[in-house]
Parts: sequence; C-alpha cells; structure tokens
Amino acid sequence: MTSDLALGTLPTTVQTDATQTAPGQAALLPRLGRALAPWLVPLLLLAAWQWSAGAGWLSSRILPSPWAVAQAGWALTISGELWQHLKISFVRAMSGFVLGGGVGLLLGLAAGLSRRAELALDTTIQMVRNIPPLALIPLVIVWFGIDEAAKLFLVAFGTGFPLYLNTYHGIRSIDPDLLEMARSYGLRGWALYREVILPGALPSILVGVRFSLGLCWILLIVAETISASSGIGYLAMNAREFLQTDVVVLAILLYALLGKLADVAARALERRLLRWHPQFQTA
Amino acid sequence: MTALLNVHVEQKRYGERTVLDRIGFALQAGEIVSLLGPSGCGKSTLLRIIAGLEREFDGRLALAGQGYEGLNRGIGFIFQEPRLLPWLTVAENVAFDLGSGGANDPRVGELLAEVGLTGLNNALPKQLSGGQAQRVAIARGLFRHPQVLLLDEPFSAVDAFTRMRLQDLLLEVAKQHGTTVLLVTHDPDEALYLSDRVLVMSQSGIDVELEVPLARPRDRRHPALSELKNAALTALFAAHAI
Repeated sequence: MTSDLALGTLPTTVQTDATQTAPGQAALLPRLGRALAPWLVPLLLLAAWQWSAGAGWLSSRILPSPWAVAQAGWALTISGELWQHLKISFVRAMSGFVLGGGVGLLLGLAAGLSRRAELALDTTIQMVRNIPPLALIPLVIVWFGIDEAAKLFLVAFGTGFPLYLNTYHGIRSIDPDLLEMARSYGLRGWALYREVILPGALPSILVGVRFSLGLCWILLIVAETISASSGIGYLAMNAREFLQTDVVVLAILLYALLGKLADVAARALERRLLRWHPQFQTA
Repeated sequence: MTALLNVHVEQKRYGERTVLDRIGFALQAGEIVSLLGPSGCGKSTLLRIIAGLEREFDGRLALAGQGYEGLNRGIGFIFQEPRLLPWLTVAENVAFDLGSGGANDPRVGELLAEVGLTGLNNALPKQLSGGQAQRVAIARGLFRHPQVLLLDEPFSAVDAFTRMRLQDLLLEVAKQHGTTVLLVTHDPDEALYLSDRVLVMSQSGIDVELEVPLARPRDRRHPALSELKNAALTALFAAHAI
C-alpha cells in the first residue's frame, strides 16, 4: 500500500520539477535576445566596415579597418599609454562637471527658492547661457594659457547651465497643492525644502545631470584638441600629425564609449532615486 | 454647554470682492456638520480660514473656548485631492506629521487597518487607486488626533460607488475617534447622508440650517432624506444659487 503510494506520487513530483524548469529556460532566450538586439546594428556596421577595408575599397589613410583600430588599441593598452590618457581625460571631465554642475545647482537652487535671487541672477544667466562655450576659446587661452585651468573652465562653463536651468525649473514647477498640504502641517523654512521642495525638484535636477554629463565630454574633446599634452584629445591630435588614422579612430570610439557610460551612469542614478516616480517601472 | 469650535467671520475680501460677509456658526463636540453650497459661494474659503491656511480676514476663531490664529494642531484638514507625497511610502505619508522615521510608529498600522489598507505600508502612492489614495489621506488626517477634522469636497474626485464607501468610512472613523467633522460639499445627498446639521450657503451667507434627525447607520433611500433634500434645494433656489 505504502509502496503503491510512493510509486504513485513519484512521477507527479518529477513532472512538476520538469514543468518548473522548462519555463525558466524558455524565458532565458528571449531575454538574452532583447539584451543583444540593440547591438545588432553596430555589429553589422562593423562587419561591413571590416569587409570593405579588406576588399581594398577603403584606403587605410582615409579609414583604417576595425582590426587595425583594435590592434592600435591593444598596442596602446599594453604600453599603458591608453590608460594614462583615459584617466587624465576622465579626471578632467569629472572635475569640470563637479565644478560647473555644482555652481549651476547652487545658482538654480537660489533662483528657484528666492524671488530676489531670481531677479538678480536669471536674466544674466540666460544671456551668458547663449554664448557658445567654444566662442570663448580665444579668451580662455588669453586668461588661463593652455593649462589645466583652461580646460577646467571650458568644461565647467558649459556644464553649469543645464543644471541651473533644470534645478530652477524643477523647483518652480513643484505642485503648489503639495506645498500647501505640507504647510498645513506647519512645515516651513528648511524643513519644507528638505521634505518637499528638494525631492519634488529631483526628477528635473537629474535631467540636468544627464545633460551636463553628456555635455562635459563634448566640451572636453574640444578643450583637449586645442591645447593639451595628455588626454584622449591629445592622443587624437598627436596621431593626426603622424597620420596614424587608426589611433584617431580609436580616440573617437573612446569618446563615444565614455559618453555612453556617462549616460548609463545617469540613468542608473535616476532609476535608483526616482523609484517613486510614476514614469518609472517598479521592478 | 460651550461649543467646541466657534467661527465668526466679519469679512473676507479678495481685493475689491467681498467673499464672506458676517458668517458665524458653532460646532458641538462630536457633531458632523456640512457646508452645502454652489461653487464660488465662499464655502471653501471659509474652511481654509478655519484651518488657518487663510490668515487675512476680519473675525474670530476659537477652539474649545481658546481663541486662535493660523494653524492649530487640534484641527486636521483633508483636501479635495489626496495630496500624498509621491516619494514617500503609504506609511511615511500617514506619519507625515512626525517627519522621516515616523513610518514605524505603531499607530500607522492601526490607522491603515481602520481605513481598510492593511499591508500596504510600503506601497508607493503611484500604486494606489484614487479611492485608496484618499483613504491614506484620511489616515494621515487622523494621525495627529485632531479634535476637529475639516474636509474640503473630499470625495468629489472618485466614482459614485467609491464615494459611498468612503462616506461610510468617514462616519466610521469619526465615531471611532470621537472626531468632530466639518465637511464642505456641493452634493446635497452627501451632505444630508453624513451630517447632523447642514448649513446651506450661498453668496449671501448661510441661508438655512437643516437638522437631520436620523439615527446612524442611515439608509440612503430614507424618505426623510429626500424631503430634506427638497428643503435644501428650495433654499438654494430662493437664494438664486441654482
């Protein structure tokens, strides 16, 4: 009787095990497919590029083959040069972003929170904002020479504005109903800023962070190509002198990669801090 | 017997326009009273004056015999919309009065159980329906034990069936906590179903006061309610409010 029971139950347990594992495996493939799909087009382009270089349609002086770029990258990696330049560029971009973004954030907070500060600052900032940072290059060289300070200034100048604008806008567009609710609980001054105004402005501030992060790489490229003895921009300009197109292309690809990384970092920050936001899916 | 809440507004103006002119009434402890009137009659302004959200007016307010100006901890306010902070969890919103860290207060769980939202402590407002969000707002309003709870058209943004359930919930929690309730509404049925007294208001002030002498729980279909509704509508017609 007991053995009958045991025999009778055994296959069913085996079956449930099987049904449990099957959907897990089935779900894995589409998920992998979704993760890889965005890379399909870049890979195809890469293949076409390699193929046309191999077939002799592209002169290596115009555009080296991907393989040549990879080889140049490898050579620079093992000599340690690549890492050195990357590190310097990264530090420059980040210090420019922190400096400019920090100032932009503070000014945005001031203009958003106080009508007086807005009156005093906003018109000026809106005017200065419309100056293309690159138009300042001659002046920057006169002021700072071709030192680190010149690059820092250019990056900081450009990255400050997106944070200023978005912080200011974020604070001004906070739901007045929420402010009134908080005031009905006696919240005033700093407590009101901390509990309601800053969290309410955060989505907008993070949009500013994303813009600024993207912009700081663009500005750094220019800053490094005009005057530098290190960094990725220097790597590219130096390679141009010696017609090393493979290194030039490598530098360009590095910028693309770094820009993408900045975007990924900003998105991760948003996902983490804006879990509550209706536009973000809760996992 | 002195009243729990005394309201006397001599005058309230917005620029040239006089919104409220010589309006006064009193609430006894434990009473549920509605201000019923059309849009623009100043009933919401009156409520905001009592809550201390509107401070520029001529008049006097007193809670339990004590005159007060501005916000008063003995008076809670529930808005037309839930107005939950979207970045706080349900529990944190309920305990908003305590600031951060209040979510672990044992009273949060009790209040959520009372409003029928047990287990939703860690949910975010975006995951709630309109009715659930307003339940959280009611729990938040009750959290600091107000003697008087003011509600500004609190159920006008939800569907008819949710509204009826929320009305019953309000009656239940008011009874449970012994809270005195003053409700602003433009719905005669809501005013009469919920209240002990209905103050019918128009631009000229409080026109008529209707007593609702029915025991609770009430039947929404009770003929006395429709008779009182007719009386309220007559008063509003007479004041050219409809």
